[in-house]
Parts: sequence; C-alpha cells; structure tokens
Amino acid sequence: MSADTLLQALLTAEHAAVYGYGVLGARLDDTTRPQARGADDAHRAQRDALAALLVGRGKSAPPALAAYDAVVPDQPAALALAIRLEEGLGVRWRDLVGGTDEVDLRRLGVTGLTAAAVRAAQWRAASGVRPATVALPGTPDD
Amino acid sequence: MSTEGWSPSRRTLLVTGLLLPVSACTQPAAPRPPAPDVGLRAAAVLRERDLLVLYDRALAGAGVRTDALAALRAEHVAHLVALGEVAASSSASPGPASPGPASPGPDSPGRASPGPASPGRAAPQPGVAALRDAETVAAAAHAEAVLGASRGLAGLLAALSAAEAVHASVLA
Repeated sequence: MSADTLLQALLTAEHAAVYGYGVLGARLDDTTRPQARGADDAHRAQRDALAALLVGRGKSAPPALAAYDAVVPDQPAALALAIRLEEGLGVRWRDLVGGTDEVDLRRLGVTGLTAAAVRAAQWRAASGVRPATVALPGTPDD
Repeated sequence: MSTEGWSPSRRTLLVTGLLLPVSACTQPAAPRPPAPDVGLRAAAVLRERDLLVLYDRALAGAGVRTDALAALRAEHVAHLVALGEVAASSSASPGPASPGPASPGPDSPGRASPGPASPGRAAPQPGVAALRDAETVAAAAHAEAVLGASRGLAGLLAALSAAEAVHASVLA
C-alpha cells in the first residue's frame, strides 16, 4: 500500500473520529466532557492537516461521509466508542510508519500514534479499564 | 613439447587466471557492514532493559503503587519479547523485589540484566519522577530510531515510543 493510500485511510478515519466525538460528547458527564472536547479539537486539526498534506502531494483528500454508524445510548457506550476511535487511529498511524521510507511521514506517524495512544489510555482510565495502558499501541486486534 | 611461439603473455594470463581463484579463497573477504536494523534493535533492547532495572529498583519499595508500576514493568517485558530478546512464554509478572544489588542472571525471564555487584551502598531507589523522566527519554530515543529502521522494525519502534510516552503520562 502506498504512503498516499495510507494517508487517505488516515484522513477517512479522522473524519469518522470527528463525527464520533460529536456524538459521544453529548453522552458524557461534566468530568469527562472536557476531555472529549480536547480530543475533538485535536482530531479536527489532524483532519485538516492530513487533507492539506494530501492536496500538497497532488492526491485527492477523501471527504467525510454524511453520517457514520455510531450508536451511543449512554456514557459507558460513549467511553467505549472513544477508546475504539483512538485505537483504530493508532493502528493506521502505525501502518503509516511501517508503510513508508519517507522520514517526514514516519515522524508524522510516530506523533500521531503517540497522541492516539495517550488518549486511548486516558479513555480507558476514565472508563475504569485496568490496566489503562497496552504494551504495543497501534497493534491491530486479531 | 617446444615452448617456442608460446607467448609469455598468454602463459602469464593462464597462470594468473589459475592463481586468482586460489588467492581469493585464501584471503578473507572484507566484512560486510551490519544492517542498520541490527544496531537499532540492539539499542532498543538496551533501553528496555535499562527501564526494567529502574522498575525493579522502584518496586523494591513501591508501597501503594506496586500494582501500577508492576503493570508498566510487564509491558517492558512484552517489549523485549517483541524485540526478540525474551521468549514469549516468560512470565510478565515481576519476580520478588531484590533488596540489594544481587539479582538473577541475565537470562532469567522477566528480569533485567543486573549490573556488577557493588560491595558498597546500594543504588538509590528511583521515585516516580525518575521513572517518568526515563520513560520520556526512551520514548524520544525510540522515535529517533524509527527514522533509520527498516519498515518492519520502524513500526515496532514507533509502538515502543508511543508506549513509553503513555507510561510517562500515567506516571505524571
């Protein structure tokens, strides 16, 4: 898979994350809602940066879908969705690192994976998952 | 058989041609430089082992944070497994905390290599701040190593870097 295809997959995932945080944030309490707001801001910025990067590389930037499949009836579901969003993005960032020899893209991938891993750990902690950390962030579920 | 008409240059060429393969067999080939991954992987292993030493010392008197630190320590063991340094069947749980510098040998699963036994005062127990700083330094070093690694190793080093950064954040 080319680096540009991996970047497009990342942008698609960021679109989904922005949508997802918009939905799950409404189900969170006052303690965790600021965390979601911060994550949403980060994902919007990352989405815009990826779109600009793809255009700069002469590639198409996939648009967001009109809606995504995100059913969030309560706070536990909202926290679970946040964890899934960050873990999914972590896999894609790690794919980018291992899918290119371009130094700048690898740096971008490490930064993205780290940010996703930190947020995933914070969401696990908020949902009471112990331990909140995982040994190898970005490892896909088998 | 007469050698008249036998061109010395042809003889020279023939002898040289016979000697060259023999000389090539007797002279040692120039050593190939090691692949970059070899050094990068070894350096990553060293970083992980150094972290394990710190966690072992911290766990010797961790008190209420024993479970939390033990969980992070277990992830560093998993890192060594991923780097191919420890068998996957080795226990991820810490061994008994060592009160002094003496500890199991370097091949003991789940334990870092001990330093030389010190006849004097034992090394001071690292606090959470020292662990956090060490994790931060390791995260940066793994991230730097990503840039020169093969694709396969780069992904793993990126995961190690992210894991150490997460550890630093939970130790804050």
